[in-house]
Amino acid sequence: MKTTLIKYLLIPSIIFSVGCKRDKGDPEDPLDHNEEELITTVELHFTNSIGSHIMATWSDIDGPGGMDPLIDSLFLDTNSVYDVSIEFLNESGEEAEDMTHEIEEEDDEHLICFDVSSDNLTIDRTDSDGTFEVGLMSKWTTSEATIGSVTISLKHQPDVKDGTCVPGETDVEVTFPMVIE
Amino acid sequence: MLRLIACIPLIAFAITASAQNDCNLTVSGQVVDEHDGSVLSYADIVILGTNLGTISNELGYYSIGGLCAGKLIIACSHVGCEPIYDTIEVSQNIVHNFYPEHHAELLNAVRIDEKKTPIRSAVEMETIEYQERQKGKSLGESLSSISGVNTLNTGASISKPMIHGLHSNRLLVLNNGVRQEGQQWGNEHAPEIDPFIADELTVIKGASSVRYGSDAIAGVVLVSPKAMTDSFGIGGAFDLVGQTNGRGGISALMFEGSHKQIEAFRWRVQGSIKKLGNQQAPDYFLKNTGLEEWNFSAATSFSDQKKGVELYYSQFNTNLGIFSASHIGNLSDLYRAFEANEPIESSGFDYRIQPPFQRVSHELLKAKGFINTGSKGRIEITYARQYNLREEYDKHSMDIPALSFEITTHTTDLNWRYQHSDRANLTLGVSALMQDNTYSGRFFIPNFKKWSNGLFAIEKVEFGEGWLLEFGARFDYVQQNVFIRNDEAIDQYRYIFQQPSGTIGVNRSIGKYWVWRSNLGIAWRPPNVSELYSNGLHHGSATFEIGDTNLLQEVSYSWDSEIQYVHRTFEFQASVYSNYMNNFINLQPRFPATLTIRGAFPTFEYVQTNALLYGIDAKAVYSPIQSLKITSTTSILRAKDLNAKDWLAQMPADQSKLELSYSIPNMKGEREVNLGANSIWVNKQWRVPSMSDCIGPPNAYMLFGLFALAKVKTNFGELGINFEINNLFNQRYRNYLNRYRYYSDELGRNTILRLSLKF
Repeated sequence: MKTTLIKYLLIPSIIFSVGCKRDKGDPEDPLDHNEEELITTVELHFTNSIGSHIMATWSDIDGPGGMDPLIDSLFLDTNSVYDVSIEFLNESGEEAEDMTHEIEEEDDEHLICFDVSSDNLTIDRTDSDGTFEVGLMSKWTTSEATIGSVTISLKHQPDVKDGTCVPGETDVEVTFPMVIE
Repeated sequence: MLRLIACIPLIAFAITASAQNDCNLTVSGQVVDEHDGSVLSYADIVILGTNLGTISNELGYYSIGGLCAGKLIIACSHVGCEPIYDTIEVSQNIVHNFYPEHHAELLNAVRIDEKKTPIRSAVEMETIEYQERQKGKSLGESLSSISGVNTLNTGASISKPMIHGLHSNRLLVLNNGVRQEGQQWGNEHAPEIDPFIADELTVIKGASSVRYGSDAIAGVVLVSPKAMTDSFGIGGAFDLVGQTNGRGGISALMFEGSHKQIEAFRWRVQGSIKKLGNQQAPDYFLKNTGLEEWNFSAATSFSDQKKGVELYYSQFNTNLGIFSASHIGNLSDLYRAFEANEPIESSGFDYRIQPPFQRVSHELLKAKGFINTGSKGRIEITYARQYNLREEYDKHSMDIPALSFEITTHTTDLNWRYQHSDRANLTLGVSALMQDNTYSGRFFIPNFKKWSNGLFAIEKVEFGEGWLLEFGARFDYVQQNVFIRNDEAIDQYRYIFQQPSGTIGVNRSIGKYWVWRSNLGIAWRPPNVSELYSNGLHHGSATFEIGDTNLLQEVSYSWDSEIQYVHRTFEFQASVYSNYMNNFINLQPRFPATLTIRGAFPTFEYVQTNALLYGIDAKAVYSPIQSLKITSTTSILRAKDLNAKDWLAQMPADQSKLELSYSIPNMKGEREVNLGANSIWVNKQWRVPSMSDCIGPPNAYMLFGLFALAKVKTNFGELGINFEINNLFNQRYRNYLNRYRYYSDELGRNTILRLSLKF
């Protein structure tokens, strides 16, 4: 009886030892959490027709929650044309990491969209992924003095990019206050 | 096998029935186990020499009408019992009870606890058989046929059971007698259980913390496998389920056996695989909603009359696509998704599962032993180890999961049941749990270790005429240690919660047809780690959730009362319940919204409030003629946040179900054919808290379905064929309890065909 019992308990024990999975981690030694493709900062670099350079930043270094983001206002001249380049950074680590390259590499999956609250500023994208525009480079044309805002969003559109802002997932959406004077 | 066959079908032979003049008499009564006094349902009762017969109902009652005055032989048989033949003299309607005696060997066979629990109880419970019409449905879906039970869904693939508006950490699932310990805290984490292991699903409504431990505030779902086979030889079952929506199905196979040479030994192996492609709403396919599942289990038991051991191992694995359109970046995306007529990312049909998707596996190993202590007592010890792995892959991450959780749980339960008098028994128990939880990837909840210990006593006494009193007390101690990395250092936080809980209940049989029961209980649960520590974006709902490390335990004071009436052609049950919850942990909106680089997100924080939930569940079954059965159920729930003087979010709306079922009579019992139609009406949930949701609740809806099932005895075994159409009119609707209601309609028409062969 005893031996048969052992015999028949043996099979499940084999299953157990072969099949049972184990936790690889140690609860008392948590890993560093890694936020993939975390973007903390959006930088706008403006160059006007005479070559002078200004920069505006929207940054939330500690990521979502915690401290409030720091937001620059955009001061633009009336009746001017600016070439604008946009950079995305991850400044959460010790060294700032430029995320713009990743967007350039996958430019057929990304689109930058602009939403302006006023008719006195028009924005045109000036770069292309070969088929559709991307928006890392753009031309901003101002007319009369006004106060408003510009919303810039980065859309991730793998396999669904169609040149519009509709499909995909929004990775970034930041709003800058804007003064044209 | 022979024993059983001899026991169940009774050969009718004519003896009596003399006076033929008055043929409208009735004999009725109850079937009660001679030993433990538990009521026996599904006993066959026949009047020999006639084709009159019936089956005892869930409370053991039966009633046979249309009898002629005179002397009759009435026979009662029940699985595992010797049939009883009684001669009765009928001159008026009479009551005749049966007290069958279970065969000694069977009585002591290893039985899984929850299987055929002492049915008579002060708590409200309802059992459904996981058979024919349930196969292929998830656990949550199968249970939702019980009134007061709903499912909380995340799309079409993930559904969690909900009792009286409460779910997740407030509802305990017992899989084969073991507390299911997975990632229950998440709304989108369904119980990791293969429904094909179940033979019966029992829902205990109301606080059951005393018996089962904290978390059982709303109730308990018991998933009970079939008892190990009693017949020698090898048997089994094969199931095949195909469905049009998702163009896939399930195949399941089970073998079991016991052998004459080693009488005490029994075994079973079982497995199932499931595959579905993109599922379909009435007007479009839902992109990336395919799923696959593969599960298996093995069980052995070795027992004689006085002692036994049982070993069980099961594995559950799933891979499920997350509906593409639900993975959104921010609030503008959410509004855009909601306003779109159909999902912005639509697709055709596809079996492939692409990112984002979830991969979940769950493993259970259980060892159980019992020994009888004298003739009146029994000690049971159960040890179980569970391992749960959940990996969530984002759209961006293809090879490594964006986050993964691993949780390992060891539980040990020791119970001693002692029958200290003919009508009273005492159960004493201790339970211990040890759990490790780790994560990697994106932060959502921190690593933690948990220890929980409980001690309980339950006394059940029968007295007077039809009275049963049940009372119990329990004490639990729960400790959670949380570990958070803070650069080089590791911060450790310790949480200790302890709390007594108790219950007192009464069950009273009134006359032959009425049963009344009522129950008072105190239950509690500690806040879980996600409520203490979560701090981040919830992608599916575009909300920002913030935990509170100062949360206290939540304590529930509940009362429920049920009245049941069972007579020949009419059956009725109604229950009222109320649950006052002190320190109810609730997600409440917080202002202003959180501004992030992805835009502004509505922000919710875990806040404690006092809540009151109350409602009614009702069910009526009427058979105007023998082969027709009309079943109607209704459930109504009100859930209030007493501090905010507002409603609670995510509560089921009022609903009613109606089902007509017609069975084509067949006296020989070789065939069984059943046809039917059903409908469900769900009201709009307009009782929602203000400011809690950026998109209001969807409209009321009504759905229809059809079903047909047939059972035929063949040379190979019993063949079952089952055909079902859900959402017959392919109606567009959205369900408030589905998180994907923002993005898409519910599933359209689904035609299901099920074949099963028992051999």
